[in-house]
Amino acid sequence: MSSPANGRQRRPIGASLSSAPGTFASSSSAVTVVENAAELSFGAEFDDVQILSNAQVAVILQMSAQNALVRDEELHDVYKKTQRYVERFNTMKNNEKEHQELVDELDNLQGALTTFRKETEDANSEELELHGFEVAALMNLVATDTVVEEAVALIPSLSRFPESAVDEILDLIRSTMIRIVSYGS
Amino acid sequence: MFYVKTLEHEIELEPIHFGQKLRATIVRLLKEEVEGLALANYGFVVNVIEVPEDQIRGNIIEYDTGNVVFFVKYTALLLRPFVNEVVDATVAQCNELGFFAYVGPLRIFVSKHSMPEDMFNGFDGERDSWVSDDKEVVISSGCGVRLKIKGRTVEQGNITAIGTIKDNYLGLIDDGSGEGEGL
Repeated sequence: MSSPANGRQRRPIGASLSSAPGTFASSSSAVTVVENAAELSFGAEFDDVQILSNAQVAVILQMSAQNALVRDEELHDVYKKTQRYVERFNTMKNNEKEHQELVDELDNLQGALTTFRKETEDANSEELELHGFEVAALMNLVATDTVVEEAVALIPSLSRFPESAVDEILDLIRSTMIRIVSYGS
Repeated sequence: MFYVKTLEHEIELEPIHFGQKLRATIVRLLKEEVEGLALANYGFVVNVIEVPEDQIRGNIIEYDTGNVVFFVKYTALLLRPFVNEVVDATVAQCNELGFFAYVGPLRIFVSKHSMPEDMFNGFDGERDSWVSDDKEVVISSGCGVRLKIKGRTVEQGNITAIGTIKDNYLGLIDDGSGEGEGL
């Protein structure tokens, strides 16, 4: 299941190391889910999480940084590194927009993607929907010129959708992206 | 990938802190202890978003020390690499075995075996960069690369990952100065 081209590859199954006293560490179970984002298998403890795209994180960190400034608190190293990272790789930013507007736009996009439904054409006719991970990955990786082929190569689990559906999804993201970036407040 | 999750933490407080500002003290201590930490399975705690009012429980007085142990539930913003996830990263340094790239605080190593064939021998010691055979692609410190995470290692208080740029649509994004084209 792993490609032989890689040199060092260690995958800790059910890592149970505790990094600091009092930290909430997970215990390893006898049968662990092999995590694989390409198949959307993440393990039970990630069932109830909300996954965020870089753009949303950027807004959150900006707002939080302002609060910290007001309270005269130091921002720690991990925070600053993360903020620098999301600022750099954020495709949906607009410095002139109000934070609340951005949050609304991004939440709308996330909502639209999450509620995106597609009926399969085969006999089962079940409804396909996007997993939270796929939604965030799409919002992170898609650019205005991304084609269906690229999107499916980057996010393999999208292959369960017909091409037309993936195209629709990309359109959704593209239009929101253009709207956020070009609309000056 | 960034995600939000509710976690729980234990804080031990000495009686001297009890008083008007008890709640603020607990929140402050929680942030100091937890933010920036790398939890084994949940990833890096980037930020404590919220400590809900009713989520601080503390009824136990330790008879040895007189301190009280508080169990605090909080929502945190976490960063964790998932296997087979594609992320953009910033290149930090190159050596003859590969290069290191960072996603925020997370360090990812891409070995030369995980680079396309035409870059395998492309390490340029003088310029500290990886160059493809046709000289088109130059990966050096400060560049943005799109890579796929292949594995995750958890060591004492730190999480690192292994990545690859060998697949389609992965590799150099920009050279750190302006716009560029993805491979």
